[in-house]
Amino acid sequence: MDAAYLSEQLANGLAIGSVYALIALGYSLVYSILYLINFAHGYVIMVGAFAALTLIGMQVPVPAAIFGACIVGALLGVAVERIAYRPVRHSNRIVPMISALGAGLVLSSLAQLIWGPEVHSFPQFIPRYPIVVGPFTFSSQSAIILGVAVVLVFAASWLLYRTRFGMAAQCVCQDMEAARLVGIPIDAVIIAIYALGGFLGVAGGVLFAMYFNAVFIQMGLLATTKAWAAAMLGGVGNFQGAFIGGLILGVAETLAVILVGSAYKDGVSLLIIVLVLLVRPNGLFGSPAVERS
Amino acid sequence: MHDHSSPNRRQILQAFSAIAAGTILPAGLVRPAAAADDVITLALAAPMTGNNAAEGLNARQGADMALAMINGAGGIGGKKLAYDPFDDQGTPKEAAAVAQRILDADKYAAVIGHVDSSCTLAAMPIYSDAGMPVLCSSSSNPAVTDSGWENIIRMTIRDDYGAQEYSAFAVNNLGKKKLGILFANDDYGRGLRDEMVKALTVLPGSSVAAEAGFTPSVDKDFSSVITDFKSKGVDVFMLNCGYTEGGLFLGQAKGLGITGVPTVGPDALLYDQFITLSQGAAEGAYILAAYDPYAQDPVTKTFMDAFEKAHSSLPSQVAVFTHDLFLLFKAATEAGATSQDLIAKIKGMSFSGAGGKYAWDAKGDVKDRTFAVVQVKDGKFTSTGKAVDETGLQKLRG
Repeated sequence: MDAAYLSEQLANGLAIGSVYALIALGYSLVYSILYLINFAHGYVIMVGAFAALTLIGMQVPVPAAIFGACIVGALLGVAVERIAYRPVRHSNRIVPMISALGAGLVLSSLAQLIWGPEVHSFPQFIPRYPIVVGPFTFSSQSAIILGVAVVLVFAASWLLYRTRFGMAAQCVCQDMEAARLVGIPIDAVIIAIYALGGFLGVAGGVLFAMYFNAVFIQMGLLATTKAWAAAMLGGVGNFQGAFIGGLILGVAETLAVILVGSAYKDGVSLLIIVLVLLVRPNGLFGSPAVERS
Repeated sequence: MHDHSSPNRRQILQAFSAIAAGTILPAGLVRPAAAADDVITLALAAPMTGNNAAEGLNARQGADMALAMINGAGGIGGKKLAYDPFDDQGTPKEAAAVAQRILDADKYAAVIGHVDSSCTLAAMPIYSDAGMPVLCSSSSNPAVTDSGWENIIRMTIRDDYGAQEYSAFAVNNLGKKKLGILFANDDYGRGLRDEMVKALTVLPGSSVAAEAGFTPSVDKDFSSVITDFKSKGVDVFMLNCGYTEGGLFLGQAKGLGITGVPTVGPDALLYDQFITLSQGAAEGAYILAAYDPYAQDPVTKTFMDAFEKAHSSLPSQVAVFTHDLFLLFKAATEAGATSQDLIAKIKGMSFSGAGGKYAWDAKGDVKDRTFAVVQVKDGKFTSTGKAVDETGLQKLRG
C-alpha cells in the first residue's frame, strides 16, 4: 500500500465527502432554527435535480436551468412546510418527522410518475480533468464541489448570525411565542428558512448529479441517509460540523474500502459514527445547549 | 392559528379524498370481467415500482408489443390475448403475496414472470402447489429449475453456466489473467462471483486480482473501488452488474484517468443508458448476451425496429424475453396445450422468437443456447459474431 495509492484514495474520499457535506448543510439549516429533522430534504433535492435535467433538455441555458431548478426546490420546500409541517408544528416532535418522511415518499412516487424509474444521465457542463495539488490528484468537479460547499458554509453562517433575517430566525428558534409578541412574522421566517433550504439543497443536488453523472429516484434516500449521518457526526445544526462531518464520512467510507472491502463500506462508516457519538453524543461540533427540545 | 386553518384543511382533505375515490373507482370498474369467454388473460408479475421498476416497465413494453402483434393477427383461435400486471416490487415477500392473489383470482391461464430470481424462488412453491404454469423470462438463479418444480420453464441462461463463460471469455478470448470483479452484494451477484472464481481454477494462470461488492441501487460512487483495482494491476474489468452501475463505473474510471481496460459484462449492460452513463468509456466493452439483438433473423429485426420506433431505445433482456414468452404461449396453445399440460408441451417443442431459437430440457432450462458476443463500437452495440472459447470449462461440467 504505497503513498500514491493512499493519497489518491484520500482524494476520492474528500470528493464524495464534500457531496455529503453539501447536502448535510440543508439539514443543518432547518434543524438549527426549528430543531426538526427535515426528512423530505433529500427528496426535494432529487426532484430539483430532475427539474434541472428537464430544463436543460428544453434547451434552456445551463445557468438559467440551474437557477430555475433551485426555484423549484424553494417552492417545494415551502409546499412541504405548508402541507407536512405547519399543521403539526406544535405536536410531539416525532409527528413532523413522520409527516416529512411521508412527504418525501409522495415526492418520490410523483417523480417516478413524471420521469420514470430509470437512471438518467446528467450533462457534464463542468469539464472533468485532473488537478494535481501536491501529492493529491483531484478531479476538477470535486474541487468545484468542495469549493461550493466551503462558500455555502460561510454564507449560511453569515446569514444566520450577521443579518436582520438571521436575528429574527434566532428569535423564532429561542422562543416562538415571544418572537411573535415582539412582532416577528414567524410564519414568514419559517417559510423563508424552508425556501432557502430547498434552494441551496437543489444547488447542491445539481452538483451531486453531475458528480455521479446520474439523476435517479433513489437519490432522495441516498441523500437522506448519508447526509443525515454526516450531519449527526458533525453535530446537527452546526454548519462547520455538517461540513467536517461530510468529509469524515466520505474518507471513512474510502478507508473501509481499503481495509475490509467495498461490500462492508456502509457498515464500517456507520460504526465509526456510532463510536464518535458514544464519546461525543452531540457530534464533533455540537454543543449540548443545542439539544433542547 | 389552528382554529382558523382547520376548516380549510378539512375541505382540502375532502377534496383529496374525492379525487382519490375518483381515480380508484374507475380503475376498479375497467378491470376486464373475469372468465370472459373471448379473452385469454395472463398474469404478468414483475417489479412495477421500487428500485427495480425499470425491469417492470421493460416487461410491460415487451408484453404490449407481443399483444399488438398477436391480437393484430386475430388473437389465439379467435380469442383475444390480454394480461394484467402484478407488482412484486422486486421483493420476495411481495412476490409471495402476488402469487397468492394471482391464484385467488382464478382467471389466469399462466403466469409470465417473475423477473428477479429471489421473487421467482419465493413465489414458485405457491404456483407449484396449485399447478399454475409459470413462463419465466430472466430469473437466472440455478435453483429456479433445480428445485424439482415441474411447472416452470425459463428463457435466460443459468447463472452458474453463464458466470463461467464470462471468466472463460476474459481469459481464453481476450488473453487476460488478472481479473477485477465488480459484483452486486446480494444473492444474485455473489452467486455469479462465486461461479466466476470457480471457473478460474480450471483456466491456467488466471487469478482474481481485486474484487468489490456494492449495494445495488444505493452505491453510485465507485472511485475508491477503481483506484483499488488500478493499484492491484487489474487487466480486465468484469462488471457483474446492471447497466447503471456498469456505466457509472466506467464513466468514473475515465474521470480518474483510467481508460482502455478491456471490459466484460452480462447482457444486463445491453441497454443504451450503459453507453450514455459511461460518457464514452464503454467503447470496446464486450457484453455476453443470452440473445443476439443484432441477429439477421427477420423476427429479431422486426421486433428491434418496432421497439426502437415505439420507445426510441433498445429493448432490455427482460423486454425481449417477455415478448417471446407471449408468442410462445400463443404457439403452444395453438399446438393444443391447455393450462394443465402447457409446460410439458413446451418442453417438447422448439420455438423461434425475437431472441432466437429456443428449446428446453426436462428441468425447464433452455438448451443449446450460447452467448452472443456484443461489443460497443462507435458508441453503438454491434454483434461481433464471436463465440466464447470454452477451453478448460469441460472439467467443471463433467
